[in-house]
Amino acid sequence: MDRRVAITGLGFISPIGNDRSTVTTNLREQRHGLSPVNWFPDCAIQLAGTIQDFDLSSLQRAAWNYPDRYEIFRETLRSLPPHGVYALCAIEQALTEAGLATDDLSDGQTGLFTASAGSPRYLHHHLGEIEDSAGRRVAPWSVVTSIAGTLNFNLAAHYGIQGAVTGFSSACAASTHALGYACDEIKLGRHERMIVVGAEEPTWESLLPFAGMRALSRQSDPALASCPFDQKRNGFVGSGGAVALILEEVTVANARGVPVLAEIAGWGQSADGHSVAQSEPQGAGLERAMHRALQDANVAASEVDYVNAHATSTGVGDKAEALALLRALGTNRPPVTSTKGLTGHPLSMAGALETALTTVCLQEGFIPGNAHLRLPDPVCADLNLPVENLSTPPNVILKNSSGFGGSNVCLVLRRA
Amino acid sequence: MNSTPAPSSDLDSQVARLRKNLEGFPVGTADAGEALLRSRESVHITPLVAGVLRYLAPKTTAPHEATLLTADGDNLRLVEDIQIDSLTMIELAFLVEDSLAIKLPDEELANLNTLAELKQMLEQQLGPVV
Repeated sequence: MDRRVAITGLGFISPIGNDRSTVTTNLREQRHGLSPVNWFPDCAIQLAGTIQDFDLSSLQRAAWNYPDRYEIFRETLRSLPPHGVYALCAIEQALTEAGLATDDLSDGQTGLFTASAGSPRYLHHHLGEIEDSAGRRVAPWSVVTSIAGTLNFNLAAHYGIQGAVTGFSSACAASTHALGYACDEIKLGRHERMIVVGAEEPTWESLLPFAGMRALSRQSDPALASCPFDQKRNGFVGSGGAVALILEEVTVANARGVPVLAEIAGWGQSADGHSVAQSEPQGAGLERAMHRALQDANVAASEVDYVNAHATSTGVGDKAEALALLRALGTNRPPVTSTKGLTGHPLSMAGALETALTTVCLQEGFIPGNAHLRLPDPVCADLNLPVENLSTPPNVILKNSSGFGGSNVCLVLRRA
Repeated sequence: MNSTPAPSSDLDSQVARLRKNLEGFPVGTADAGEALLRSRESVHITPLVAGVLRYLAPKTTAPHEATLLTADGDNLRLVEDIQIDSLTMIELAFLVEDSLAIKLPDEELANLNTLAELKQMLEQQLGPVV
């Protein structure tokens, strides 16, 4: 019998809320989570998607503040980067929703896939200590706190995971890659359950480097800064936080008696073979990824009734995706939205966040509008880009992601 | 740091460094550290070390917390009783060295057994303490 993949738990620490109900409300009411940042005097970048109720800005972990309902012992905290705290809190929410306890995760049938850029803030801090002391002072946790992989190192140890554990580094496609490969682990019978978490730190160390390639919006008004598909889009607004999803084989979820929130019916990927940083302008690679995803899910393009786009509000990227969608969907014109108008672009966490938001849409039976879209770029004019929410319950959803090096990933989600 | 008292500006900046390192540690830890830096009285070593260990030790050793400040605390073994593992020992050394501007010898650190030995090592490295 074919093995199918269910989503049974979601957890959010995000610019639009730190629990599912707040996120749902903000998504429904189109309330964005972009705030002014004052990283440096006269810094050209003025906005980021920031996280409320957490203060992890000190380099001393003892001085960190996070909500009391999360108890994190020192032995775990000592090597966690700030986004590791977000990730742990998101996983706790997802486990609760899925009716799982930490003890259930050490069964050897549970794996953990992660996506993050590591902690540029802590890497900077620790390398500075090493340089300032001419190599004499090297903090013991500096490596496992800061390098890409820090999430999987820390969380696998904390949760006692004995199945597959690894991290993905395809930048803004990374947590979507993690979800795709997690589906494979389940479908191939290697695991019964996978935890997938994407997380990033919305700090200047993580985000300002993107200004070097003119990828970030310099607008101070959130409505003008993050406006995917708009004619006046001018770069993305960086953000962060953490989103966790619990994936389980459908019969395992049914046997435990927990609700299946949505199914991931298939996925596909491709690369542009074009540029280290920019999307191939015609979107041929992304189109290929969508075709492969539809084929894997055994779904026709005509059945897709909602697309949650990658569109980050950059000139080249949104256009390439629009062109790819117009070809991949044939004559079908389902509503397409980018939720990044509300959330900003949380880099490698984007796919996890948007897959979770899409799951909320499947459950709640609505399609979010394109926040901040005023006048669509003419190149997108043939897309169906609603501005207001639609009360049409979606059934089959495409979720796109694209990352540096031209990596493209597409998931097909289905109503449970 | 040795027998020559540091000029006050250096001392103040060292105190600031210690306070930054010990931000959020159990109440009294940073105060004990500052008092030790300023007065060089060995009486401040115990509350400083107790506070640092209370923060660094895993949750499982919480029952020892009250003992750390008492004379009985001197007999506690860092590894077996307080469960300070090898990397945490390095973390402890890193913290103490940076906060007190001293250097703890690696070989002696590796052979540390009890809390009393740790305190004694600090006294030695701090130079003449009253």
